[in-house]
Parts: sequence; C-alpha cells; structure tokens
Amino acid sequence: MISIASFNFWGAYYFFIIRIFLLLEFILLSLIYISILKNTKSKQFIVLSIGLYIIYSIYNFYNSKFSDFDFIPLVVECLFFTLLIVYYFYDVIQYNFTIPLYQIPSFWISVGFLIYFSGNFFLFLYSKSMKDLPGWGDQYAIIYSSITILKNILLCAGIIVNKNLILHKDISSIPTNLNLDTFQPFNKSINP
Amino acid sequence: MIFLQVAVNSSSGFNYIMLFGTLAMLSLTLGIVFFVIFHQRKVIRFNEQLKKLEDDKQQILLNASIKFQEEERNRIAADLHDDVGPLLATARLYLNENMINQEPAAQLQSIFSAKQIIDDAIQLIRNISHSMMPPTLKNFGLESAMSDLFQKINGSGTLNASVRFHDYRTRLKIEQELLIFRVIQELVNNIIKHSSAGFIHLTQNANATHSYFRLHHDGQGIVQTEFDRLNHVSTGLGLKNIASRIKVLNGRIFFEIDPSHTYFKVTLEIPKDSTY
Repeated sequence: MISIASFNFWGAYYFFIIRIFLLLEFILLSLIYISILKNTKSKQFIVLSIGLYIIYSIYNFYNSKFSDFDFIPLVVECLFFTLLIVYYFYDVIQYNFTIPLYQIPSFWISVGFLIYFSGNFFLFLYSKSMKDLPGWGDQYAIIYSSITILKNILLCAGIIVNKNLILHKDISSIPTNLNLDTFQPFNKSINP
Repeated sequence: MIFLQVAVNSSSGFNYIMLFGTLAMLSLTLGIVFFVIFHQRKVIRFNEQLKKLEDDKQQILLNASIKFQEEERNRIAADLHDDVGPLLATARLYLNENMINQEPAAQLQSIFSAKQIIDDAIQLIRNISHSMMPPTLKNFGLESAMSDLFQKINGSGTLNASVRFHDYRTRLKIEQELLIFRVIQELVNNIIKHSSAGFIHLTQNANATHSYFRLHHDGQGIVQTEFDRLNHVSTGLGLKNIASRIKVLNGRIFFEIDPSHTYFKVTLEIPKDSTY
C-alpha cells in the first residue's frame, strides 16, 4: 500500500528513488559486514564489490528508461548478500568457539537478511517478466510482505539480544575508562 | 494464506515455479542456519571438553609436583633425623664433660671416635646435598654428571651402563641441564627398578635447534600409548614428574620399541633456545 501510495505520489521519480535506495542499501549492508567479518581479504573483496556495484548502477541508470526499473541490480544484490551471509556464518564458526551464535546480535540480523534476500530472490527474478500478469500483484504482496515481516522480527531479536548483552556488560561497576596510573583509591591524594 | 491465494489465482497466472523456488530457498536458508547453530554448539562443547581435559591434566601434574616435593622433604627430614641426628648425638656423648676426668689414652680414644663419627656425619650431609644438586653437574656440566651417574651404576656390577655424548660443545643453561639430569635419572631409576635390563646406553646428539638424548635398554619397557595412559591416571608419580619437567623445557619425549623387539628406546627432544 505504501508502495502504491508512493508510486502515485512520486510518479516517474518513484523508480529513481528505488534505484538510490537500492544503492544505499547495498553500501550500508556491505559496510556492516566489513565491520563484522574478521578476514581481511573478504573485507577487501566487499570493498571491491561496492565499487563494482556503484559502477554497474550508474551504467544501468544511463542505459535504461528513467520511468522504468531494471530488476537485475536487485537480483545481483540478493545473490551477493545471500552468499556473503553464508560466508559470514562460515567465518563466525571459524573464529568463535566460546559464545553461542544465538547470543550474537549480528547473527540474528544476518539470519533476517538471509531469509529476506533468499526468499525474495525468485520474486525479484520473475518480477520483470511477470509483472503484467493478472494475480501477480497479490502473489508479490503476500510473499514479499511475509518475508519482510519475518526479517523485521529477526532484526528485533538482534536488537533484544544486543540489549541483553549491554545490560550484562553493565553489571560491573568498574568504569571502562579507568586509568590505573592515575587512579586514587578511597579518595586519597598521592601528594598530601 | 499463500496456498489460499494459489487456489484462487491458479487460473490467473500464478507462478508455481516462483512459489516453490521461494519455498526451496527459504528451506535451504533455514537448513543452513540450523546447521550452523548445531555445528557451532558441537564445536563449543568439544572445546569445553578439551579445556576440561587440559585442566584435569594440569591438576594431576600440580598434585604430582606437590606430592613429589613433600616426599623429597620427608626423605631429607628422615635422612637428617635418622642418620645425622644420632651420629651427632653419639659424637656429643664421646665429647661429654666427664672426658676431662678420664685417662689421656681414653681421652684420645674418645676424641678419635668422635672425629670418625663427625666425618661420617659430614659424608652423610654431603650425600644428601649431592642428591639435591650434584656438584659435578653444576661445575662440569651434564656430560660429566651423566658419566658419573652411569659409572656408579656400572660399579654395582649388576648392569652394564654406558654414556656417549656426540655433540655437546655448548652447554645448555644450568636450569635446563638440571631438569634433563632429573628426567634421565628418573628414567634410569625406573629401568633399574622395573625392567630387569642387562644394559642401559645413553647417547646424546644435536642439530641447530634441538638437543636429543636417547636411552636404550634391553629390559621390559613401555611405549608411547602406555606412557600417555599412565600420565593421565592419578597414580605413578615418577612419570608425571618426567612429563611436567619436559613441559617446562618445552621439549618432547618418545617411548618406542625397536622393530626387532629386542630393546626399548626413550628419546628426549629439548629445544636449545628454550625460554626456561
């Protein structure tokens, strides 16, 4: 409904805004995984992918109609993040031997996005060829909405887990910025 | 609800391939997620077990080390109390106050006897001290200390013992030498006590990074698996002391049997630049 309303409101600019949104989404999600992943080579690969994606988006923008939307960047994004998140799971198994995965916020966020991108993959893939068929809109809305709701629930789970982690950390009363060289216990001064 | 939509829209271009593709992708995703969670749980559990095993081993080694220390103290206390104490008490008896009233010949006899007893006490204290830190090891190094030890064994006439150091031009640190000496001493003691061997032969060799010490004997011995097993049970103090000393040296120990099953080999591999 929001999409339809937006389309009615923005008109031809709607697809232009989607292109911008897609590009920002790709960059922001990539930056999240750059900060999460431990392997330097994979980080470099993500940075390279961002560059390539920006170049492709610009190319795609100049080579398609302004009022039309090409779904290839969307499909590429789905495929890229599905593989990236699977790689993130592999990475987390390699390095994390102590904390269970379900206690890590980034795990829930990744599961949410994995379900979102893998679940919508076929939807986006078929969008261009089937968008004019009757009943397509309903099917699209049901699948996309269900998966998006699931993704948002999992993102909330990530936020709740993060909140618990922060609360757990706050149990200690020792200040985190304590400098033991200058710290004076019991309010005693070093030079009376 | 989706299936309801399928029924409603089946005649209006509903794409089954897309629906099943989406479901397949979601199933695959969930499969991956569950696999990752269970695999990681398994890894965490395995690591915890490993850590527990390592902690248990450390605890056994610590207990063994404390027990060994206590036994050593008891032995020294017993030597001092049972041997040196009575000797000095006897010497004191000879040199008592009544000696001045005795005949000069009796006085001389008493002084001579007291001197002999004091000499014995000195020798006894020297033996105790030498058993704690062999002076040959401190002054002349591991090669001489080992030669001394093996000569003493040879002197008993029951066992043929020999030593050969091939490459020991540069001495190891005194702390390393003492630990190696103790390990070899313990191994030799075990061989004498338990193996009924006819000969023991110690050889030393070295390369750029490591020193190697190998003991051969023709008695009953143990192999690596047996050593590892004995090292993890609460009994058997000597082998645990060997293991803890080797660990301190950052070295390794191998218990092997000759392919012809005629003699056993124990090899120590000690890094030359150990941080110890």
